[in-house]
Amino acid sequence: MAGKTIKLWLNHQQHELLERAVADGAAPSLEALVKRAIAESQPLPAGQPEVK
Amino acid sequence: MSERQPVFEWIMQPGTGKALELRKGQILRIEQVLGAQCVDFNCFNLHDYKEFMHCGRTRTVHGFNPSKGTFLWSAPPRERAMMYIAEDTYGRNDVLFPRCSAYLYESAYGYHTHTNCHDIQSEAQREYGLTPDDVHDSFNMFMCTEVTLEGSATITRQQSRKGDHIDLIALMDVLAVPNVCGADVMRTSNFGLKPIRLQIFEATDEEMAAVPATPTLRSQRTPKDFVNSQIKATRELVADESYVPQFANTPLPETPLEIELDAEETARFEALARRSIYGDDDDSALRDIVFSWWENRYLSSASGAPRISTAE
Ligand SMILES: [Zn+2]
Repeated sequence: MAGKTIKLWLNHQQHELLERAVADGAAPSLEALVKRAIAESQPLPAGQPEVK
Repeated sequence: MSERQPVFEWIMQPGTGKALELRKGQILRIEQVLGAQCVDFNCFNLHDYKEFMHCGRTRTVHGFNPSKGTFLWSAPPRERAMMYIAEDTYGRNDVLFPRCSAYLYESAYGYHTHTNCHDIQSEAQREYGLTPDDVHDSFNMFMCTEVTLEGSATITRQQSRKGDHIDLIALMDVLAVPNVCGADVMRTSNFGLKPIRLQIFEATDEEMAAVPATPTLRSQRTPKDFVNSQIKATRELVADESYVPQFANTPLPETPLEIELDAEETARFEALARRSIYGDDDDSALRDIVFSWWENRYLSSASGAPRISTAE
């Protein structure tokens, strides 16, 4: 699978919450934080509805 | 505390309620005289009746059956713990059902006039100048309810006994308004009406110390923080010509953050993206992943529920 670039659109409140996680040391930058979230999230078990 | 002398005692007869002033640090005991009697309950900040117990907030924090060890919360924007349930010997209460009302007994049972919690609450709090429109949804004590899988709420019979009681500690000065539920033709109180004993005690230092701390936050606003703090004195609603909206944090424009994913990250993203909700909208799917991760890592309460502990 090829890589891709995604534009993540955030308002200032959403931005602030993630910036706080960066300031808290969760990642060196917002981009790194997003990549960490992708890396640490678990795919849904088969059969679980995606809305939950 | 059974040997302690009450500073006030009252037997609430069927069909009646009682408005009681409680000072911070006093305990209201609501006790079954014969058993199997539902009691509806409201409370107000004694010094500002616009702050009142809010079942919606209480139910979000504590679930459908608040019992020993939980709080009664006031409505937003106050959202303060008004009272603490220090004891609850039966352990079945309800914050799903609104108070029963005259409409219920007329529409479903054909009564012209019938004892009902709304009108009993109105009559009890009239002693303090409040109107029938000032009654709020009640904390229904000793009331057994269930939620079906289909999502509707139902009432069941109850098994509270003589002596079963609930102790509420006032965490601020309140006007507390309990009433004997008027439902004698329903299973709520097993098809009967029975008296209820009310007692007020002074809480001991130990009892006050046992109340868990709750947060004090800037968001718990009082009239001094309101743009409009005047209680409206007329009934007609008329637009204010000078009104200028002051919605907080607006406008809310979005700015883009470019995230370059390599092949492996892209594959992982594709496995996580909730396509049945977001379709081919990568932006929304990624925002879901990021904020769900944040919830897992940082949120100490259920999604959408306020946090009430002060511990880290
Ligand atoms: Zn009732």
